[in-house]
Amino acid sequence: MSGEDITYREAIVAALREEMRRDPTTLLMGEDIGASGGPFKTCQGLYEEFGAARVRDTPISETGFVGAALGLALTGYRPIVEVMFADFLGVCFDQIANSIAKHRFMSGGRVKAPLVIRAIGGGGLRFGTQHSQTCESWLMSVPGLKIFCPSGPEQAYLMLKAAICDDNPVLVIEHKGLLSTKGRVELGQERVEPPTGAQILRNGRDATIVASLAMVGKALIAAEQLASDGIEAEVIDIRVLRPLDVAVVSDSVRRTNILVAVEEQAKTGGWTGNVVADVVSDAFDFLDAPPARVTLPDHPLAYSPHLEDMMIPSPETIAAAVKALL
Amino acid sequence: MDFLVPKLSATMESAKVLRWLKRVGDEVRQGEPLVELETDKAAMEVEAPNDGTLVAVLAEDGAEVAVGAPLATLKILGEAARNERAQSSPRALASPNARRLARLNGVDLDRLAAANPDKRLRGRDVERAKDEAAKTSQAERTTPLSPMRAEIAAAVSLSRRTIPAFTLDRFVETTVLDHARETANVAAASGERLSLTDLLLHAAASALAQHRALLGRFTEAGGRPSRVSPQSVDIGLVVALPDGLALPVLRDVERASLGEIARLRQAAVERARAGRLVQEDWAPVSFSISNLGPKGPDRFEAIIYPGQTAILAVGRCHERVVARSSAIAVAAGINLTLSVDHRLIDGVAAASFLETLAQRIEGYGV
Amino acid sequence: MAEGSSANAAPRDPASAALTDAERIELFRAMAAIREFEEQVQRSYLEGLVHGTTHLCNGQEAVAVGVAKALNDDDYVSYTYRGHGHCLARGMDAEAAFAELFGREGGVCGGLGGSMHLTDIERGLIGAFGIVGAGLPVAVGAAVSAQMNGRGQVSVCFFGDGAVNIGAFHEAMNMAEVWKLPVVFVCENNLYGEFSRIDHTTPYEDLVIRARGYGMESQIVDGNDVIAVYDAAAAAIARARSGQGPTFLECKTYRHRGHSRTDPAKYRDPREVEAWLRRDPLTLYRAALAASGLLAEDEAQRIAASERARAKAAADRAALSPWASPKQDFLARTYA
Repeated sequence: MSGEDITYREAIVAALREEMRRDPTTLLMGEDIGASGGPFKTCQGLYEEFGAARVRDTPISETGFVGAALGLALTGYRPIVEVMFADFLGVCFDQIANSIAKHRFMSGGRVKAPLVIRAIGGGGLRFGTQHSQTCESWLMSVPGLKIFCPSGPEQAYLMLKAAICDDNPVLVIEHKGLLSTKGRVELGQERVEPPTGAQILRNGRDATIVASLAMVGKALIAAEQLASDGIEAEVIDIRVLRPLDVAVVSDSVRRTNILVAVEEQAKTGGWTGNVVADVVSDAFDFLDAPPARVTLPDHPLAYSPHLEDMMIPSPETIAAAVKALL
Repeated sequence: MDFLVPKLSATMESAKVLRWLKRVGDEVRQGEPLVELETDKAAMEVEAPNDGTLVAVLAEDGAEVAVGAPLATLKILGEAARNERAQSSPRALASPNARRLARLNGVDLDRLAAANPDKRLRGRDVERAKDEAAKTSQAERTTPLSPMRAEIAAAVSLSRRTIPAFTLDRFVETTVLDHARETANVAAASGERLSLTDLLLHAAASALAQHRALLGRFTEAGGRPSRVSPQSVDIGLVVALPDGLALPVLRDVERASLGEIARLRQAAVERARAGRLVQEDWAPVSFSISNLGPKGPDRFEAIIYPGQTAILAVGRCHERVVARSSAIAVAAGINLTLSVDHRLIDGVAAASFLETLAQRIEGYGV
Repeated sequence: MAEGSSANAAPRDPASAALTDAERIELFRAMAAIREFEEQVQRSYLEGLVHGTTHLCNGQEAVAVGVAKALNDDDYVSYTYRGHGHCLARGMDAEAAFAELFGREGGVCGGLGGSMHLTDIERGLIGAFGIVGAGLPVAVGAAVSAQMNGRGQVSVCFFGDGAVNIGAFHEAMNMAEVWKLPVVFVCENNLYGEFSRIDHTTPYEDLVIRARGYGMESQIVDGNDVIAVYDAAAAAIARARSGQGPTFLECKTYRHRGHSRTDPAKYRDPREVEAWLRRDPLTLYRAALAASGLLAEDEAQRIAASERARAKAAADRAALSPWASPKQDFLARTYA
């Protein structure tokens, strides 16, 4: 397979750089993304290459610069804003849900708002509950948005490029715990197709595990553990939460008869509820056991390291959930 | 089985029972009129869907009944034993997958559940039971057929006994059809690829619309040989199952686009494979298609399902030598074998339909 | 830090000095067109043609018309749910606007948005925002666009006094000044945020004080004097075009009707209402035009009557437009 081994972070920078070179209407806005390269170094080197007009440091004003992204998108530009912690989506929620997501529809389809919001979320790094949420389902009930969840470097690269080329508002949830993980990525791709639907990462006959973001990696490790017990799990990356398409998952469940859905969010209101409901609808007659959901508990995430680790799904808890259904 | 109020027209929501033509205890033949219903459109006779006995009348003369409401109970072949067992024991604890496999393979779920108390049966339990049943036959022994197999046996016997069928053959070239299919599939998403059967259904719907005689069904209501002429073009599709076959129906295909036909076909195949045929699939249809697929024979003759008028058997796509303008050429195509009920359709009418169908296929899309 | 201006300071070299007689009369006609449109909306509402609610701008026409006069075709405008006037002043077709309020296919947004969301991007009307204050950040974004284009465009944002207390206002004002953006914030201070008088919600009535807090150039304007509005707007817009940054124009004005359709505005002191009605911008301007011999009273009446007839005719035509279709592709209206 061609390409180079780079980190998730480098994949993000590469996607931004390639698109900013290709399309002069793109620009970045966010806190400390200029000369500092971003608190998570996800914009490293871009200020030096593209200058202050196209890589704009903003004040701490999520409502301000996310709303400004809409103004730019309506007037011929393709802004990409970075929300430093996905948890801050609460600050600019109104701009995203009530203005950005709805503007095209309210105009009767006459305008479009091509913009990208990159929100860096996720736990496991001991930042405490206000800075550790993935927030992947927060905006899932808002029609008009697309929501992409890259689970590794290759997806981070491809999804960000696709999001920038998409003529619609796209929320890309990046996981801070994945920033330093490495993977093979073929850079310099001209045209990237938008991701549609879930993707099978590992084939298996005995159970279907569907997961997002950092939980995908954990599911793959769980599958290795299960394999040593003679259980072959099929691991699926859900990839796109809006528009949600579970056809691949339903198809898999028709073959394995077992479904375990894993997410790094509290159980109530998390996207695995949607997926389970849709798959049960599609493949009801093929289920051998009630589908299981492995999630965070329905209370905030603790800070103390062993507590945080206990609360987040691990390969062990995922494997145990699969075994309990067999 | 429960005999439900059928949807006799697209707008029908309810009907009034005018009068029962059979009494409790009477034997009924499939296709025989059972009851007269009055809908918003007209008074219509509704026929028995299977051979059997009228066991109970659930709506008396004069009653208003909604579409899908139970009208009567019929005891049909193979059903008696199943009903008795179902009434006597509580619902077995089994997963949806186990129920599906039990339905399709004729495994007695209640007996299996009784042998495995405190456990929810799952697919592998049913498969094990089925394998064990197959394995334990050392010497020659007699096992009752599954209800599905028994119904098939009864149906094909009845067909051969009562339907004077004749067959017509035609080889049709499929170059144009294949090209149309490939072109459409280039742009299609993976779940929406067209199969050869979709295009054949599309062509057949068009041909049937032009030869509506083939939509008629032969009946001997009240002792007089008659023809029942439906309003819409419906086509049955033979679907192979692990231990038998099912015949779901695609309704109103004349007005459907190719994409809609593909979706109807997929839905029909899915419900056949899940063992979930619906009332619409039991209601009468006159014409069916049986396609044995790319591994099928060059040619075969299908058996007309009782109550129907014709069935089109489709052989595998293969190349053969043909004569064209006095020269030898090679063409890819399929053998169509049309079996038709001679009580209703003569050779000329059948041949004419087959000719139209061949034209629709060879000139598809033009 | 910029000094705020005192109330009603007339600029040196006012732009209005260059207006032709025809242009001055046209300003009256434009205000009359808005007034008659809103009056017709009221009548259509009583006939059951307008649904939900609607927010009329009777009494605030001078702000919309005065600012619009100072704009170029490629400038950007954002506004609120009380936005009919801003849209008409920029040339939105009245029939399409009525059809939108009536929920018809021929509506400017296909019947999908309604009164609160009139949008017409070809005329630079980038959107009406129903959430108070939500338009300010968007206007800031359009101003970034204008700054990057380097062609001297400006972004103008209309909002009411109620918006100066919400977070989006503060973030946008700050960003605009820090980045020296070509944006003009036009605050229509009609003394009421919905049903609450300004003295109950804000520590002072002169909102230019807010602008000074952001170091922003600001001016109080008599919002019922269309020439004063035009002069202030032209000056602020010229500043923006020349890269000198944003201006906050506080236009003191008053709405004749309630906050929305169902509000009879009984919370207002009748003497206050009476005093402002005597300062009706159309009445004031008619008197000014008559005094300068440009437009006789009977001619003004004829213009008003003609606009009334045009509004009625547009509404009648709009009522014939078919209902927005239930069979349309809603997903295509959502996603490009």
